Amino acid sequence: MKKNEELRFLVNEILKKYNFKIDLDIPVLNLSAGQKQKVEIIRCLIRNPKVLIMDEPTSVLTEQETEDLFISLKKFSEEGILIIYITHKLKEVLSLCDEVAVMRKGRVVSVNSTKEEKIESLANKMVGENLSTIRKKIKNLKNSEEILKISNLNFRSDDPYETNLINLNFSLKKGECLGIAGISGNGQSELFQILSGEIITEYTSIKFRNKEISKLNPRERREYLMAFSPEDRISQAAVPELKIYENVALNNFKSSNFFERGLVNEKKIKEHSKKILSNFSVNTDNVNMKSQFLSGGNLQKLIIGRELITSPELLVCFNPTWGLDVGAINYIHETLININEQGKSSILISTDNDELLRLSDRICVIYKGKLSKIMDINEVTPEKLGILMGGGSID
Amino acid sequence: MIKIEKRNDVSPSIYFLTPILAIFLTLFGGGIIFYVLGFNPIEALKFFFITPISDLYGLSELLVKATPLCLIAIGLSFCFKSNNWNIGAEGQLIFGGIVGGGVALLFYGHDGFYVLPIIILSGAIGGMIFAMIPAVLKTYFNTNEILVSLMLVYVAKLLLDYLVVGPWSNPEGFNFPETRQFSESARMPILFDGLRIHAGIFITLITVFLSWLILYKTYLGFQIKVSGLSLKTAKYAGYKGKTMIIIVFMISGACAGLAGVGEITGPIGQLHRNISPDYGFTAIIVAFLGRLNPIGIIFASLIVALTYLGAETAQIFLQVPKYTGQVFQGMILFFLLGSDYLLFFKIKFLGLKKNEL
Repeated sequence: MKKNEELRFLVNEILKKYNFKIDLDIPVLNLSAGQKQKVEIIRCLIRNPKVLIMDEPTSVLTEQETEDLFISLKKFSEEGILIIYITHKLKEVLSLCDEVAVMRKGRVVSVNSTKEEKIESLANKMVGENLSTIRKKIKNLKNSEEILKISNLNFRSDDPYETNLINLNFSLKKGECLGIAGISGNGQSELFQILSGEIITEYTSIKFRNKEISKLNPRERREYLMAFSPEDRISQAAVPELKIYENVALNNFKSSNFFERGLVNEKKIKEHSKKILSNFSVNTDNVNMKSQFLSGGNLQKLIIGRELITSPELLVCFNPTWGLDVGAINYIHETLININEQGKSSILISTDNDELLRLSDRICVIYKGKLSKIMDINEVTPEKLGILMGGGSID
Repeated sequence: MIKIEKRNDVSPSIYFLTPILAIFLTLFGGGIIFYVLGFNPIEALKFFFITPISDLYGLSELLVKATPLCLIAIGLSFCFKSNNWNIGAEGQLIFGGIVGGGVALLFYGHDGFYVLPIIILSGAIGGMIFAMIPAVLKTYFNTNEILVSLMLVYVAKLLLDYLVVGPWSNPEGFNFPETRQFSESARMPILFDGLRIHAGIFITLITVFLSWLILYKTYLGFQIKVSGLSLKTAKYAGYKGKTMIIIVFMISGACAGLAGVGEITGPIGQLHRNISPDYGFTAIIVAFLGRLNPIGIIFASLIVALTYLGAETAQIFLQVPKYTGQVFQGMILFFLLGSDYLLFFKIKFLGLKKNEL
């Protein structure tokens, strides 16, 4: 009992000192996001820390709450607590921090005083200036016909770990690759699932080759020649415990005859799988092997091969090369460029800017579930991309 | 320091051998229990596992018990393979028995070859409908199927209680809690004179064959397999998850209902309070012991059926309660889960780190 009272006393001290207002007797469940965060911070302060590390603390806060947080943080640093503040919001860095380090692909690329940095200079460092030299040939797609039109895409989730999508509208031409950039967790996964039909939303209109497909499930969308390569290749795009040919059967389209009159046509599936293995240079020809024994690169080739062997008109892929070695990355990139050259379209949702700049004809940025305006690849600069990804605006 | 790591390479032969290891460990554990109770363990185990099946009558009894166990377990394998935890097969068995029994009473005094098939069919439909309750509640109201299916067992039991005491009790039965004996036309044909083994065994064997066909050779079976391994993949492939949940529950319930109707038209011949010695629950052990594989389940059902018989013999010869049978069933599941854990995970003993001393 005594311990509880001591704790209450300590917490009250902190509340007074930093002018926090929280009712200590209501369940945390009923607090607002900002108040919950204060509880977290109090929990840290009780132990008199010398260092306080925060990772994207403002992502769930309102603007007012963010301001309150910054006032407290400044007080902490005046009292000698070192604060390490991890964020992708450049404005916050400039208004809050004394020094800033920029990380890109697991490396620290710059450490500098914030006085010497501007939003533009940070954006540049974040995205990287050394654009890859093997860029796709820029084509004139002006006269190409429209293949996909998304209007009024809205998505509201009850799950606090999902991102709501707000009024997305875009269209895609035949033979075009539309890149969607953004820092992960800004709604990419939700957008992919809506495009693939894993999530069906009300009121959204998705017109593909002049047919309304927004209410169709993924299998039905495949019949209209769409194909999908999800981000999670190990537990979504493929099942490691299944054999290669069984994984191929996951993409079951009507003309495949994989399942005739409800029965498995193993021979057909295996023939088809062999074709994929050789056409997409997967380094095995054993279709009976469990796919867990394939390396990441070979598994991704198998998945992309499975999706492309039906000659789809549109491929939607999400981070197709994460975690792969350079050889496999180049192979996948060449494949994706190839399909555009054959007049097929693609949507590339990716968090890898090099990849986006290499493959896209047009690029837009998704931030907190909203899409930026779509830019032609030749007007995109790393700076613009960085600013948009950090929630800023250009022009 | 002990560290537990997942193994990536589990060979299929060992996967199917561990149930046998579990059975041996159960025998060993059982021997110890008998020893502690003051019996000669070898003798006791002999009474338990060999005496019951040392004559023709015993073998027939073994098949009589294995018939419903195998049938229910096969049905459950559809649910378990696709990650649907139907724990209420006992209730579906009883409800199938109630519906089948009701129809049998309706046909009381009727002769005709059509009577038995109608009863069997209605029993299967009864079990199927009863299993659809947790399935529909799960798909449309997001309830937990484990709780709902389990609770419905008690609903079915109490309903049966009410019927055999009240409206369906035998008018000439001196208020015993049981219905009339069904007419001869409503009984499963006996295969051999003097033995209790009945035609229900054919229903079980046909079901095993059909299940193997569905699970391994059809699109539905493929979808069940994929959903069991990864629901995310099933969604991505565009399988209709809700419909599939309802279908597997229907199959499972129909099998349990068939088992129920097989019991009341077979060895029992009427409805009374205890038409099943918890076959529906024990079948869960059978399903897992058989690795959810139709052939495996046949063997598993024979072994588990033996624990029922062994318990009866042990009660007679050793004067131990017949619940020792359940002790053995529990031990089988325990050792199976235990060896599975060691099969899928390895335990590493690391030396103490300096700063932990």
